[in-house]
Amino acid sequence: MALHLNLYHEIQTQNLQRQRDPLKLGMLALLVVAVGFVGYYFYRLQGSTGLNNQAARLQTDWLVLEPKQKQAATREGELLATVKLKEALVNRMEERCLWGPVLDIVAQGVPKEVQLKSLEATKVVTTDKIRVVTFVLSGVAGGVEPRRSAEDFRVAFLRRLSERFKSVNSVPKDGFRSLDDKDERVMLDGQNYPTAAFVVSYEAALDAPVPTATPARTRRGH
Amino acid sequence: MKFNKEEIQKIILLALVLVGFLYVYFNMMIGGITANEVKKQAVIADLTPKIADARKQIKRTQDMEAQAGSVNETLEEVKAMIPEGAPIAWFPPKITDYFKRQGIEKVTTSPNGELGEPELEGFRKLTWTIAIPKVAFNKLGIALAGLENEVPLMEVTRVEIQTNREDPLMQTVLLSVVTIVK
Repeated sequence: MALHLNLYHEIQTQNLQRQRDPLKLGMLALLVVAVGFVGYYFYRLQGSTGLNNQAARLQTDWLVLEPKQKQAATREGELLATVKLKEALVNRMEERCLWGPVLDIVAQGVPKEVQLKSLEATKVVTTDKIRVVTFVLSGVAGGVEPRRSAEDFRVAFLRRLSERFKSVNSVPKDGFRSLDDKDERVMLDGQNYPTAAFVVSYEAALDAPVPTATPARTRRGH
Repeated sequence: MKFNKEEIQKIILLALVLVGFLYVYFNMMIGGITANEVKKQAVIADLTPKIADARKQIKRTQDMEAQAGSVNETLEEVKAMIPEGAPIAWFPPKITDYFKRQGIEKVTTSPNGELGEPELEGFRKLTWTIAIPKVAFNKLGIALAGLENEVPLMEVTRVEIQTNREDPLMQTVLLSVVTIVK
């Protein structure tokens, strides 16, 4: 068997030690990490540039839109005021109480036994924004039973008003303001009848009353 | 593995370089980017809703502008119904003429004052009393209905009818009216 001597083992050991130099290995590792960090830096830089562009675009848009928005807001205010004014004017016209039909009710609703001496009718708007017409009628009723004639007229007139208005009440409810027998007599169909003077009033609503909340039922114990 | 003195010095030096590098990298390079991103994100978060609101506002105004034509037309029609000049100069003669055309003479119209109406900007509400000393009830009803149709800016708020003392078949009438004027 041939003897093999390695006369370079010292040199090889030195080379091996040089290759395992921790500083060199550390520098290599650091270089790898540094490359990774640089890559990550550029990745973040790209994302940041996208954000910069987006922000710059928005700022440019805002510079253009802001004065337009202010102008639009001012114009909107003007237009809203105009629309409101138009609606107010149209409502005033449409929500008028038209008196022609009301006077027709009076003309048709007074029987021959009754003579009206005066009529006062006033339109008012309540705090609930309900349009109400108040009527005060005074007159003389004649007949065998003049008070009965007056009562028939009061009820019939209430009914006729109810056909035109949303709700009608006699004031005071179911009664007269005054009803007095008079000394004067009247001729009706060739006969002489006693008379009674009356004053009657009504409240007639042109709008439906605002519904009020019904109180909740209380639960009774067993 | 054992390190000699020289190698330990090199490792310490390397560690110091690494610490310096990490400090510079995270604090200045990445830190700068992060700070910039935070700032820009705040700008975007601030401007995005503002721009959306602005676009909505502009669109809403444009839509309203498109519909404003009919509103202005109505307003112009209303204004055209009101004659120029002081109402006292044209309203009483207008009423007198109207009732005259209806065969009702001797009508007097007198002003009562002005009602405050903040909703009607640019317009005023004036109150008047129209007195008709002698008129037949049916004629009054027809004339009043016609007047309400002819003068839509006028509203009768009170009607007082009394039997005429001289002629029981005729009535004396007082009308309270409100008119809208410029």
